Amino acid sequence: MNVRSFSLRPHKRGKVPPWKLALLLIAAGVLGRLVLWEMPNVEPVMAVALIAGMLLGGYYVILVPVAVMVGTDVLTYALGWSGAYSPVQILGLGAFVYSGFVLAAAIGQAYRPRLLFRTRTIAVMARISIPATILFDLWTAFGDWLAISRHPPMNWSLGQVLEMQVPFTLVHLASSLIFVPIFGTLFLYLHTHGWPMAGPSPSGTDDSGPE
Amino acid sequence: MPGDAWSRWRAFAFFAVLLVAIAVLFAGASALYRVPPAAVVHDVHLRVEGPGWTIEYRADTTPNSTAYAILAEAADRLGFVLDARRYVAPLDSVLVESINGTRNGEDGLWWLYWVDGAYGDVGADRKALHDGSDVLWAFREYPPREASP
Repeated sequence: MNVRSFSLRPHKRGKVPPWKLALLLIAAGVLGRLVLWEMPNVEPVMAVALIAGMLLGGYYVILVPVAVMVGTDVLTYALGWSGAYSPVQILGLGAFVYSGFVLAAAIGQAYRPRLLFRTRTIAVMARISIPATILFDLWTAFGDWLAISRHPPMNWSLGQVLEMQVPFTLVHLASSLIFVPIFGTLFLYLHTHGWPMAGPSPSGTDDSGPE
Repeated sequence: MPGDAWSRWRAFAFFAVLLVAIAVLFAGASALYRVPPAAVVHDVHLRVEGPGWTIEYRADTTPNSTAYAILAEAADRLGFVLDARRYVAPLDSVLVESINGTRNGEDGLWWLYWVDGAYGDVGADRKALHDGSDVLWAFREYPPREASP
């Protein structure tokens, strides 16, 4: 697996135009996040971000996760679903959450597997989602501590926050292992084969180097 | 082994490993985020501070030994309305949304709890009480600015 340097230029396009794939990814992320709102740490945004990085790359690494988060955050605050955070706290913690998902997408871009529609490719995607999820949780737990938990009345140490984070990270890892293979299979198929009704096509578009 | 059969076998093995990993992760989270064991506690005092009103409740002996359960007991005994949202397993827990008609978000304030002077660090239904515990539910800004209740 090669590690690639970051570039704002998207990868070579697959069978579906990148902007269409990006729109589908954003729609899947928004819908999934809203449907799973009542399940703490079970969310599809990590999977969507990773897949955007792997399949699209470039500026989509920023565009896709940020669009999903902005769309759902605006909607949930308008609907009154969101919690007790003040605008300042939202900006503080939100900066960590948004940048965490962009980081996940960048990891997807840097460690993208060969894009062939194979079990092995999905397995590599799932494997990459594990460190990406752990890094995201460490980053956002640090953000929570910095913006909220180190202040009165909590006065929690970073160690305490990380300790409390453990069960949530386990669920988040399970979430990634559910959504990365599901979305990975779906979007990798679209990327390599195109729309199912569009007729026969070659088996894959390998626009990357070796794993 | 023919190529197709080998591919199917690999896909099946991957799916099986994935399912086991997901089950282990969910089980681990449930084990770490435990509900406190059922216990009977004595001499528990509850105070609920709303906007312009206060409710006091004392239980000499009660099996409702969490910060949420004692509040639910008081609501039942004293006849005030308690509304809570329960999140889904494995990290299931309750979020109190309204007490006695005062709902989260009104005037930018929220229902928060303290047990024995310590701000809640887990869901209220996961916070164990002990003999002589003092429980405070207060309608405050989140996070509260005061270092103590």
